[in-house]
Amino acid sequence: MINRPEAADLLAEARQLLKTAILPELAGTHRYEALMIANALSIAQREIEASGVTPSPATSALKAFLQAKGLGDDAGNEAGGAESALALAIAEGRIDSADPELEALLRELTAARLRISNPGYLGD
Amino acid sequence: MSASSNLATALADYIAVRTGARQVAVVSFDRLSGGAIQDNFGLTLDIEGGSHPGRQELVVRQDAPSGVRESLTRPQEFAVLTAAFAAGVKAPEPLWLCEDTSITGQVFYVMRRARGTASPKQLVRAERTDAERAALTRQFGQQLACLHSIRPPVAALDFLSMPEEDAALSRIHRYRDYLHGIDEPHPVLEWALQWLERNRPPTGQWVLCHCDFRTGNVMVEGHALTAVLDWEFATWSDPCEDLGWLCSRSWRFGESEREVGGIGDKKDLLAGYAEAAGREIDPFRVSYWEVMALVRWATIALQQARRHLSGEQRSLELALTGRMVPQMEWDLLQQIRELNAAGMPKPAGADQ
Repeated sequence: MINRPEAADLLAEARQLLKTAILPELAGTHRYEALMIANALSIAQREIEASGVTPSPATSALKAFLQAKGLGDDAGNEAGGAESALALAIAEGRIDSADPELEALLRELTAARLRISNPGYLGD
Repeated sequence: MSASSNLATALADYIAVRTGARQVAVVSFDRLSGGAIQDNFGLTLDIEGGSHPGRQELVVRQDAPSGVRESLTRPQEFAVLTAAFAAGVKAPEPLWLCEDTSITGQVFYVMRRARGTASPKQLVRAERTDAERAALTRQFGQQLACLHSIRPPVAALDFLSMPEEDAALSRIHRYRDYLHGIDEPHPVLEWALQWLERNRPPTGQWVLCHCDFRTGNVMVEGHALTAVLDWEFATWSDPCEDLGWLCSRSWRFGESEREVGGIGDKKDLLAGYAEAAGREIDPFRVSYWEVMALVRWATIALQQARRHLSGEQRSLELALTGRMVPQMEWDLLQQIRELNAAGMPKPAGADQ
């Protein structure tokens, strides 16, 4: 069922109005709270926009890595299962922590998260 | 009477009794910012007679309804503050501990109010000459060295647990156990814990550590440190736990090039420390504990997110803190890569 304007659009407009019309009127604690609200709206918008692409490139890279290292059998079909398999393999020493391919994968997974939660953090 | 003037009056009456004053008048009473977990109030009194006559600028610190697992109770915090103050640390002077909850409804203690500001934004953005910046940073080092002169056992601090093993190993086990108890995978944190375990420096000495000494918890007036605040996480640990936490990338508040809390350089911190302690600290040991600090802060953020997720304390601030974990994970990936490239770890020399 189509519902327009969609969620991401609503969030974008809500955040814009908050920034332009409300935030300039606030000080102190209320200003801090409004900034938190703006931040939450941004994250939610980016998360919705990112969820349009499935499976995400990061999830595909994760599953490919687990397959390549012979850990693919334990991974569930959802990304959460695959990430749990990875975390467990690291904790149990079944993957060499010094493996540069592991480090590259971890960077990719983290960068994907940051593009949603705080893209500015990657900027520098 | 408003609720807050009731509270102010109750506190004033209590202090009158403790000090043996003839009369106590409330000059001002306000809730202080900071501290999601404790309630802090500023209280200014005019006292006639008794042990503390005159105008007294005080802070009252009591439990807020929710707590965090690691933190000390108010009476324990008061004991730590007393020990630190007695050792010459610029902790706020602890005055009166009240364990009678009929006064305000909570256990509380009263301490002297320090001058200046602890606001990270103000401290990090303040205009300072190089000399002023270096002097302030050296003071941080001196203060930590002074605190670290307190060694176990100390009878008044017998509530602090002495880990049986090495401080780093005990932290690694604690964070790993925590991660394995939650329903969310964190491969980057597991990877960092593997690195921390493999690259541990030799066991150091046990000293009293503040464990949250950072920009945000130090009061500064002009270019001088006036007080170290928020002692609720103090415990016995390795001295570099405090130095690493202070230098962590997480607490630079936008001034990422200034290694010490967004304010100064590590060389000045370590120089101030060495001057006061009479011994040098290996900078690579500090870097190790900066990595530990990132993992610790990530687990704290996960705990805070869980307070929200479980419904225990629904809060946008707690929820957003949970979404900060990828930043710490990114910093871990960066810093471990840099340390590996620099040939870390250099084995520390003699025990620190």
